[in-house]
Amino acid sequence: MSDHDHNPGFVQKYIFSQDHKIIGIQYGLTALLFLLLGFFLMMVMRWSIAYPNEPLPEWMSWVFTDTWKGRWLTDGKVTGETYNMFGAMHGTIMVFLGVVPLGFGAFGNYVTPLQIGAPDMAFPKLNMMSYWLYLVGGLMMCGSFFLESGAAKSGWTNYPPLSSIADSQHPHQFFTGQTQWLLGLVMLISSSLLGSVNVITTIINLRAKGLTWLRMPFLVWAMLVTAFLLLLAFPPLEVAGIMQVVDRFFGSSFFQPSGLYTSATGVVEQAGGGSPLLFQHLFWFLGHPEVYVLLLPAIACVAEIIPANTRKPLWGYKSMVFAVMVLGFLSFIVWAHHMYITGMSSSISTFFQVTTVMISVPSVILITSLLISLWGGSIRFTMPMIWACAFLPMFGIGGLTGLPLAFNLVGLHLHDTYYVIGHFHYVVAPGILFGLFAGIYYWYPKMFGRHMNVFLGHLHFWPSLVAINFVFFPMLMQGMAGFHRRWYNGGDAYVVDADSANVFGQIVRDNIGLNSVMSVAVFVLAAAQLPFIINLFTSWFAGKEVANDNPWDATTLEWATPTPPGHGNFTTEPAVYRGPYEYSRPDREEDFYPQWIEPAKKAESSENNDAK
Amino acid sequence: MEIPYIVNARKDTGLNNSKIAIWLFLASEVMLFGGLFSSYIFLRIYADYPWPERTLPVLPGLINTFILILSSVTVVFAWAGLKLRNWNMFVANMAITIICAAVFMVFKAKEYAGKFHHHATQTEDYGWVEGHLHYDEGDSTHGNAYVVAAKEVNFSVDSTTANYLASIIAQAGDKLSLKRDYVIREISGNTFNEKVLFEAGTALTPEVIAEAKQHFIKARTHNQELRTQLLKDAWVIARDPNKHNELVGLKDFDSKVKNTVAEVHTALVKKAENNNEFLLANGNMVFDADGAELKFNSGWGRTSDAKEGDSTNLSLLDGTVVTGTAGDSNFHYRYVDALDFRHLVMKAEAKGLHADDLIEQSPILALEGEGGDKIRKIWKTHKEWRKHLAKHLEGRKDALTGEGRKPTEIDLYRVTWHQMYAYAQLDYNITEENWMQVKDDHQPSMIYDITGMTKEHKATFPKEVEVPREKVRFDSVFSPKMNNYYAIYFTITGLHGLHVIGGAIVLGYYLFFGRKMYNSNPEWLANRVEVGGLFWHFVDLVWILVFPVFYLM
Repeated sequence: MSDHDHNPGFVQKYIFSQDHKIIGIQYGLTALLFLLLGFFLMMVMRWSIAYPNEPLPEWMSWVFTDTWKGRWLTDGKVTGETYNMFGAMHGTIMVFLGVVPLGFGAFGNYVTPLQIGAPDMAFPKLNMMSYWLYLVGGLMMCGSFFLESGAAKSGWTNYPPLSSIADSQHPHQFFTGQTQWLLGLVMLISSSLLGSVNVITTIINLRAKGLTWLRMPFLVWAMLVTAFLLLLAFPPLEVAGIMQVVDRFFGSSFFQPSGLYTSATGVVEQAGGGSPLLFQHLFWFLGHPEVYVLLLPAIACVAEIIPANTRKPLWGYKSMVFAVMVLGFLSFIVWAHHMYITGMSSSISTFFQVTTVMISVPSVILITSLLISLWGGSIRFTMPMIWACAFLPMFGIGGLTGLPLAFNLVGLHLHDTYYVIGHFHYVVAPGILFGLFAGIYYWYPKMFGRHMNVFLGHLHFWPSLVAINFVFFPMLMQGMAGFHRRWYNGGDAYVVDADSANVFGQIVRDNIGLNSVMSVAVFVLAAAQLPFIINLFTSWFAGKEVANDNPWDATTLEWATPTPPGHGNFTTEPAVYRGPYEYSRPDREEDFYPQWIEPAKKAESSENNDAK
Repeated sequence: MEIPYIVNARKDTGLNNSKIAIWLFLASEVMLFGGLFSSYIFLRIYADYPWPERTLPVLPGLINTFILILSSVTVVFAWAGLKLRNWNMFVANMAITIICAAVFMVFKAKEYAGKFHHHATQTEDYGWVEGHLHYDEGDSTHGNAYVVAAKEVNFSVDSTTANYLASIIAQAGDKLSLKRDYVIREISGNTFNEKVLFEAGTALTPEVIAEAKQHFIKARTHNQELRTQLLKDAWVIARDPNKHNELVGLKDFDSKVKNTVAEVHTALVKKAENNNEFLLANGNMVFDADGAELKFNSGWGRTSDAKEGDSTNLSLLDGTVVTGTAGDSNFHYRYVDALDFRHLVMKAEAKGLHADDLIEQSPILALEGEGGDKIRKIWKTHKEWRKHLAKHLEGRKDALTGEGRKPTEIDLYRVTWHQMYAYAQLDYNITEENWMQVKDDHQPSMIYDITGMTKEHKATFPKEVEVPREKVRFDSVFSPKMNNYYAIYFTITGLHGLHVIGGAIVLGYYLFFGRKMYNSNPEWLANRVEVGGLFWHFVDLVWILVFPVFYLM
């Protein structure tokens, strides 16, 4: 049934593909490239933080042209302006161009239709458009590094009035980093809108026969909730983006208060009367659900990997499903906990503190269920399982360090310090990214018919695990000491000599040494990604071939397809007879009972029926 | 396997794929416009200026509302036509739908165009004058220009923008000549030589600037490379225990280390300078302008002083600085069609000042010429009229408070063109008997919101009014720049207009290219039209919200 009437040329098959699997892989590779770029920007920043008085070393600066260095570096050192540019783009790239496309774009596209037994996404053309909008939006943002004005410099949160003033004194507004950032963002939002419509429709309407709601694997549930978050939370940010574009092109002042003054231009010649706070509300209305858009695909990968590698059902599947729905709902009403410092009234902040504490309940249900799933299992420490196991404590640290931030008193003290940076990087980097790495190692055999190399995998995992903790744990310590997240020189300007009476200077002096610890750890972490890159490409043609279509002896539908799945995915129309995680059933000889295996008894009776 | 449920509904969900998708899409659209309308509320609540109320022409908006409602009905009939397999019914109704969309956009475009040509000036005291500026056909500044009798023009060669430069050359290319020699330095091997790239007196051309830019960037790059290398050397020297024993064991962030490195670096740079290892990075080119009169779109830059005859600096956005004497940069209004002191009153009240006295001192009431006289006359008449109005309202008790009613801020402090016309009809003589005719017999009809004002109306306006630029705080046409009311109005209606155009394109596609699908699979086409129709209803619904919010409230 597969491949009938379907012999597209190379371009149609691999470039402008409408096949969800190719698009998923395109998303994955593009996202990994963007992650690499974001990582590189961060390495440059880390150099500036740890060694602010030394020129950027040759092994990093060779990437840049001499002209670019002449414009953006001073005596070879990273300037504040350049640091801001890299910082803003690091955040943007990692969140919007890296992790979301990898989690939702790659796994959502590749795995979801397979797990529900669908031949493809409901709207293949829309799917293709969604990828290309993402790519164009991303390239627009990153292309602005080469503009006269440089790329956006106002943080990934892009707060006005800073972002509104940025590059505003430029004759051609279109060709400025800030404008390109906004337009790129509008494209990315449109892309994820198309993607989320597609995913939800696919899950609702294209489930295989017998795949009732509570037989869906947890990953499908997570993708469904993620898609709803994208669908409903992103438009307000699109509004904010459009309003900023109008501000820039047509001189309006949506986000500029009256009487704004800058040293460069004096009183800004604008009508004023706008509200910077409005932007923050619109931004964080997306921004907080976005955290779960990042998280859910990763937790979903882990939830698939743990049952397959413990050979026992996912503990608390139903509570996890309900938890993820509650999580999705609550994530819409916690956004202002990012804004405690804006001077909100105590009643408003009480509301947001309560909802914020509430949202930790479903998160804890998810992580606890995964943890208990390990109990009493016969664990196979395969590559994906190792990453999944590391995900649990790492994400745990990320989550627990977030608890104090839910309270506004603590929030006021820690706002914009490295504590916050440490907290959310623990969630995103060793948490979410480890979960997604687990996913890559887990589904790679289905994608390419070969396993990834285990030795290189270990060479990737262990240094990554150690180094990443040396990167982010010191941040928590520095943050509590009051280190601000936007110091381009890592506090060098505040440091005093040992005999000074300046208390703050002494505190900075006591903690500034951690900067080089973290930076060296980052460079080690970078080196630790090399085995992965090598592994990813060499295993494509040289990895160990899979023994059968279901190399992990898993139960969900994606393993019922040929390897790799052809166009249309399934050779026969799949039907589902049971829940997603039927491992080690006492009545079965094998320790797994796939969803698609027809029960023997029923088969007999239906034959009898036919005979009659 | 084929993708199922493209045409027919899935049994357990009761929906086909595209219907699920359009509802999801509309949910997201609700969030989009929800965000916009929330922003509207936010901006209006926190506005620190008088929110323009009921300033849009109601009649065209009302007509547009009915046009869209009509089109929403016809799109349903078009769908019903397909369901009944009646192609002609589909074609007729779909055609009406698309024609409605086109008419809607024409009204919209006319409304927009009127705003973009309508100008307003805010004087320093927050009083407003509205009207139409004088400008000739083809004047790209639209009558809103900075004029400078230029002595010198200083270009930042690395950022000079082509169209700014072209404008300067077009206006005074023959008068501009390079003030000083532009010298560059070339290094080959260990020797360097200096040469004059452009001699003083060179005429300004884009090529001159481009070549200077090339040399400037080359020099900047070279110098930075050299300085970077010297900084690296400085660190090596500072860390050498033989040379700087006192630094051994100190951390890199200690001030001694930082100072030593900085000192060593400075010394190395100085040495390199003495060896002439650096290139000349000269990013500025100054041209003598010989008093040439230059005129710039006021959006291109800012001036230090705009009073005619004063010496001034005009900085353009690309870094070009024009030095000279300010020329006549005043706002020349062909006619003024409204006065508004509400903002002034708001500011005065906030400071506890007496607003009516401040209005009398406003520069707007001190404008020169015949136009200025007319403005004073109109304002005097208006004060008379509002006195009668206040007296009249005082006699009418408010049902809630039991006290007499009061005129609104608009009644008190804003003079519209309708009133200007009415006052002229009454010969600027308001009496107990005739004052009510201002908003009655002599009120121009709503129809002029569509046709525009007549010559007869315009004859009553203050003409040839000149507002000196040094008295002006802010000015704008009625674009998003004017204030956030217009900004959000243009954003929401603009996005809505894009939705109308997008919807019309999709529906038009079904109309003009749907026949083939109708022949092969009419149900599929019906589904598509249904989905398109759902979207069309949503677009209509947004307008039904837009109309009261922007036109009536």
